[in-house]
Amino acid sequence: MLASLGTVLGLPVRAAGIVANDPLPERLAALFPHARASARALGIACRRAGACAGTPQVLAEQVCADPAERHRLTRCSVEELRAWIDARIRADFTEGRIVRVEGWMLSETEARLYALVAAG
Amino acid sequence: MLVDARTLSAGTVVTCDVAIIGAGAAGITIAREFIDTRTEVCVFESGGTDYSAETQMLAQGGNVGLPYFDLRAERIRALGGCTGHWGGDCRPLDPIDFATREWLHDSGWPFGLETLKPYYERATQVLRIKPYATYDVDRSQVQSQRPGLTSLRFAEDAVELRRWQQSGPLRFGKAFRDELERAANVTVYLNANLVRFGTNDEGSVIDSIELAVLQGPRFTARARLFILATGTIENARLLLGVPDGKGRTFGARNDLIGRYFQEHPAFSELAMLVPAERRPLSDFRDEVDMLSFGFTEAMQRRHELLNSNFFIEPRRIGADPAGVVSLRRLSGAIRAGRLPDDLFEHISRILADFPAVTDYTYRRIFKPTSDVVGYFEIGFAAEQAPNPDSRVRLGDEVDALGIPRVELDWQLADIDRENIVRTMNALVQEVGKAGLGRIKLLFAEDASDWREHLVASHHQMGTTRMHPDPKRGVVDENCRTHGVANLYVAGGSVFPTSGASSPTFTIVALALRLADHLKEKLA
Ligand SMILES: Cc1cc2nc3c(=O)[nH]c(=O)nc-3n(C[C@H](O)[C@H](O)[C@H](O)COP(=O)(O)OP(=O)(O)OC[C@H]3O[C@@H](n4cnc5c(N)ncnc54)[C@H](O)[C@@H]3O)c2cc1C
Repeated sequence: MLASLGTVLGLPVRAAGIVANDPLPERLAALFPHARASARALGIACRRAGACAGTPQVLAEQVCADPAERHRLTRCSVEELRAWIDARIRADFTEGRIVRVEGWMLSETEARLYALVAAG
Repeated sequence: MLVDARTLSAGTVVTCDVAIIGAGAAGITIAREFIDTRTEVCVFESGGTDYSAETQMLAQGGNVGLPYFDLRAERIRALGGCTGHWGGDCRPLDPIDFATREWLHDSGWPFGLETLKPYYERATQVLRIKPYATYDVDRSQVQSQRPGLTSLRFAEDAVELRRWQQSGPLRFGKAFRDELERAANVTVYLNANLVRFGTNDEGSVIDSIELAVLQGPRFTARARLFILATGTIENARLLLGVPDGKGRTFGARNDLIGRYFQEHPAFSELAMLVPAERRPLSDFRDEVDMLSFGFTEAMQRRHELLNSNFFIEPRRIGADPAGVVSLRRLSGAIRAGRLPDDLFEHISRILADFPAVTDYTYRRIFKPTSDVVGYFEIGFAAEQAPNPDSRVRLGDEVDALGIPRVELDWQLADIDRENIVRTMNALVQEVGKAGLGRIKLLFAEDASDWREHLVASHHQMGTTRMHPDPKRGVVDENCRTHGVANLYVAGGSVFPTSGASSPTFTIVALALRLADHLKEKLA
């Protein structure tokens, strides 16, 4: 969805609350360069709906729990990161990891990404 | 030959081999099959060749269940029956519709699609539509005619495209009137209403029927075989309410008569799909044939779904640049340090316009001629679970001929509500899996607000259900009434389950099958 939403990677977003020594939350937050306000608003809605909670660090860890994979994602190209997220979102839908936020049926991963932006 | 029964003298006795009661899609189809054979056929039709308000009053009845159409206006009492105002949409049942499904109580037809296929083929000629093979969707043709639909690339083992055909709509009364008029061995008695069955002592054989003209004579018809083809509600009403010479009714013998009334509950505005790929509206439009989406048999089995058809209605963003308006309003609100109360309504619109906001300039979106699909409204028409409490019964009032009026108690069961949730959740998954966009559900999580979305489809089925076991059905696999040697029933009332396709194509196919069976019987 991210790619299909037409978002284009731009400058990284410097968000408060992101742990400085782990670049992954920041990389994930930067996936919404043009629609950041919307992603933030969505994130607020996700949090309000109780669909996800936690600091950007916690949310990033929920997006990718495997340390080795996390390590790779902090270094891979943006295209690879996008592809990984896309696959992850599709897998969420396949396996029924879906959250309902004000009627919107979102994958857990994308809801966490929005929440991560909102936490920034 | 057409005969106005008002011209008959009281006490007239007509004799034939086959007496058909009701000249709608089913009755006319059966009668036509006998034209130029050696079988004498009489058709007794309540109405005339045209609509009459007085005759129409005979169809009046009450709705005591879910909101339903005015029964008097719904069922035309004239030559051609309801085909006088039907929509003409034709689609065969799917193979799974005939199957016994563990998750669906009282499901299962006595035969499968293969049995009905040759009759569907013949029914295409009656309905003047293209051959049966047309229903096999040719994706390359869809691709060229409506590329938008094939661009919604669902997993093929999960969601299928289904083709419908449009019959005109064929008005049976007008289309076949001349043919019936010319037929030497078929006589259609107009303005003739069934008011009494004449049976043997046991009530197991019908030897005659009595027919009445409104404010006119009563006359008798003798025949070897009788076919009740008066529509789903009237078929039940007449079996429940028309007595024999001893004052007995068939309803007293079989409590299943009138039960299992089924519609195709349609649920509108259930969801909106924001597509990942933006395409012009023209990619989805085609005047030729209607297409719907439906879950494959494998999906229905996996998720224990009732069959249904999704109708995906494209909506333009050019005409409603709400997303852009919302984005402006939202950013204005955020800048002013507050969030709008209807935050998510704005967010949904923004989501709808994500690509537009990034891919297009505001000016382009606001251009009134913009033809881009912004979102799809999703609704579906479902198979209704067979439900004995959903029923036609007799009311306290009688009509001008002394036959009790009906009360329709249309009910949906819990499984129908659960099916909304299961079906839409399955769709959410398929859309997400295939990366086609995102869905916003517009109903409560448990679909407890289903009534607000419910619309009936004008499709009535199930009140004299077919089952080989007399304890489980009203008619057997040949549509013969259990316990009566020579009374057959034609029409949607014999459907044990309704599938999700409009019923008339199947009604006509079953009528052709019944005609073949009767010919064998008479031989
Ligand atoms: C608005 C509307 C739109 C529809 N659109 C579609 C569609 O797009 N696709 C589809 O598949 N189906 C559609 N249908 C349903 C379709 O019209 C019916 O399935 C079909 O007409 C049923 O055929 P039938 O012969 O069983 O009954 P009918 O067509 O109802 O015919 C029954 C006949 O019996 C006569 N009769 C009744 N009582 C007596 C009596 N006591 N004595 C003698 N005669 C009697 C009636 O006058 C009538 O002529 C629609 C229906 C409506 C109302």
